[in-house]
Amino acid sequence: MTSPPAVLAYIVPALPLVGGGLIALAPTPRSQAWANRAGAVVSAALAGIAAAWALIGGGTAPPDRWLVLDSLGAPFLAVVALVGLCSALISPAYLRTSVRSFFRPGRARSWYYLSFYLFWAALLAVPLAGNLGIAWVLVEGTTGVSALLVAYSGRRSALEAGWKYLVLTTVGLTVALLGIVILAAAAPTGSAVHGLSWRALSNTAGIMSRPAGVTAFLLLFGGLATKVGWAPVHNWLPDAHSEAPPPVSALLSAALLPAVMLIVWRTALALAPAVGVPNVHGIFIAFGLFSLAVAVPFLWRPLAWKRLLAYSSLEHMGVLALGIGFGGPLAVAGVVLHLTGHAIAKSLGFYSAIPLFQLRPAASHRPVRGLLGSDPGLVAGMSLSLGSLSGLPPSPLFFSEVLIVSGGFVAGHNAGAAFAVFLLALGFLGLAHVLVEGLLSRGGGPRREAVIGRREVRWFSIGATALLLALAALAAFLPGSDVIRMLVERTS
Amino acid sequence: MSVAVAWGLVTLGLLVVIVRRRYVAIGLVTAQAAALGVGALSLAPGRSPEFLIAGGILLLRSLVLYALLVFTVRRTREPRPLRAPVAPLVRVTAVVVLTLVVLALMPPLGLGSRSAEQASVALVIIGISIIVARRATVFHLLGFIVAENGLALAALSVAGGLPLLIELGVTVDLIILVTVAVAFHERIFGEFGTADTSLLRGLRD
Repeated sequence: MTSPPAVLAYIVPALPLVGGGLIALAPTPRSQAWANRAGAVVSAALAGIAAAWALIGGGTAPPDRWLVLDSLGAPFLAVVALVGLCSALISPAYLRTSVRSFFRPGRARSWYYLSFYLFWAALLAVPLAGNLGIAWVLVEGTTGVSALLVAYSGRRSALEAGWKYLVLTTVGLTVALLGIVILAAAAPTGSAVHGLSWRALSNTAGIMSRPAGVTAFLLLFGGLATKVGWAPVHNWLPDAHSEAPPPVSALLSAALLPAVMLIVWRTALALAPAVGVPNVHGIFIAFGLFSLAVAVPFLWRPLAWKRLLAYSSLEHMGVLALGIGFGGPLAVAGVVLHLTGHAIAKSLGFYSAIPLFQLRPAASHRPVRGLLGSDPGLVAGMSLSLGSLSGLPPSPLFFSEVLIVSGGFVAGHNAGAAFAVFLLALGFLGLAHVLVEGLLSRGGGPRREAVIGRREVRWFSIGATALLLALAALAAFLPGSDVIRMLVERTS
Repeated sequence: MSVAVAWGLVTLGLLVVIVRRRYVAIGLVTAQAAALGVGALSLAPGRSPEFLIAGGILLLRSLVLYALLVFTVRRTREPRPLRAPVAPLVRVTAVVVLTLVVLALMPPLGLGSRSAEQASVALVIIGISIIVARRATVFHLLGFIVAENGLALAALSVAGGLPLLIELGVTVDLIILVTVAVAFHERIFGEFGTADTSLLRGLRD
């Protein structure tokens, strides 16, 4: 364990673990906020360096390790680092607005930071997992801490959302663990220690019986799909996303779901010899289209702001599944672009809820209307988020969806790609309707000067605009780049 | 693990589907987990030292979870018994039929013995059925533990077992999860005056 990538793979999740403990021990809210800023910046910077290292070819750690820095995990690691950083930076603003909590009043803030950093550390480790067993342990580890965060407000609705999340995702992960036991049984004797590494699994899949391989794959795919939030096993998602504190909602939607999806992707790649490559692609496409089909009707309904964003997560996880299922340079480039663009736009949308709920407390359970007169700056941020998520050009999500659908046609999945275009168009129209009728309509709401989080959301809006435009420009170069070539080789 | 022990574990799981009192259900699940641990320790002499440690972990886990659950139930006495929406006989019949159908359709999974495979899958189905069929939060927790016991039985049937680090990770995760679920149980009880999950139905679209 002496090479820099191998060391980095262990330090990246360790830093937020240590940081979370130190922040929880800090004596005053002011010192906690300061330690939070320092801890978040250092943790995210190191994770960013690790991701860049892996992407430019430095991450060539041997695969039979518990944690591995590789090119496929790098974009996911970078996204988890970015969303975690932004969520940590906006957390003090959220905590200033929080009036009651799941935890005892005197220690609520410390518990929040401790749970948040434990969650972030586990999320940073998931893309680095070099072994299916460790990946399962990490994903299951995210459940406990994130359930506490979902219920942080202590409201009845938050308790309901947290409990549902805990129960449903644990049931899913239990099913997935049965698939892991089947794979462990099929591994050659004597390979117990690293028999579940991605490379060893690939070898095992080549020699195990087809019925056992298919059963293990289906148990793993179905079980992990519960945590990714793919339809039809997504029931926890709208409740948890809408009830969690906004910084946690961003982590759930933009970091947790894609990180678990990476585990599904790695598992599918490893088990393809047992299941058959066309079958693996078909299952991803089926889950993708079904998730889109389930999400679209909700994007047309008048929903509370965070619930609307939650259903948009279901839609975008469907788009990512389609990209993985289609495969090839265009679709893989689309996946990387979509992953990043979705993370930025969705996080901004959730952060906007902090000032929004002060201006309009009813917006936590009712659709937003006529906000333009109350706070044009906030409307600009929310519109940027919603416009980007809907795929309105020049949003990078427009280009990523074009790349993914083109990849589908190039790979010969004409019917799937055509149906995806139809569903994406419907989804776009639904969100555009909310944008025009809800956010941009004029209303007579009161204008308040002192709104906590307004300044932070403005800064995030500026940063998000720059990043989204940069991503849109990158779309032109990404499909032919070395990074995508490397990822396509890795995923073929 | 012998065929009799494996199906004995399944019988204990089915009893949890039927019983009404939380203390009795906790006792049954603890007995199931302890039997697994003792069974694992009895198999250890012919296997690796890791197997011995795994058996010890299973036994310890059963005691920790028992203490945690009994402590919690004592702190949260229900004002009146929570009746499941379906009668016990109907519940257990439905679970048995579902389990038999799944076992009939299930291909060989490649674990040590066919009976261990069937008993493991049966326990996972019974655990999930307990979560679906019962209203009390404590029964949901017991459903998790029954399903995890099924997975532990499957892992013990694998020739080399699961890697020790993963066994440890799974155990730590389960204990963390049950601790978090217990915290939820207490908060739900404090907020609603009962730990009845049928009251958690306010969020709909």
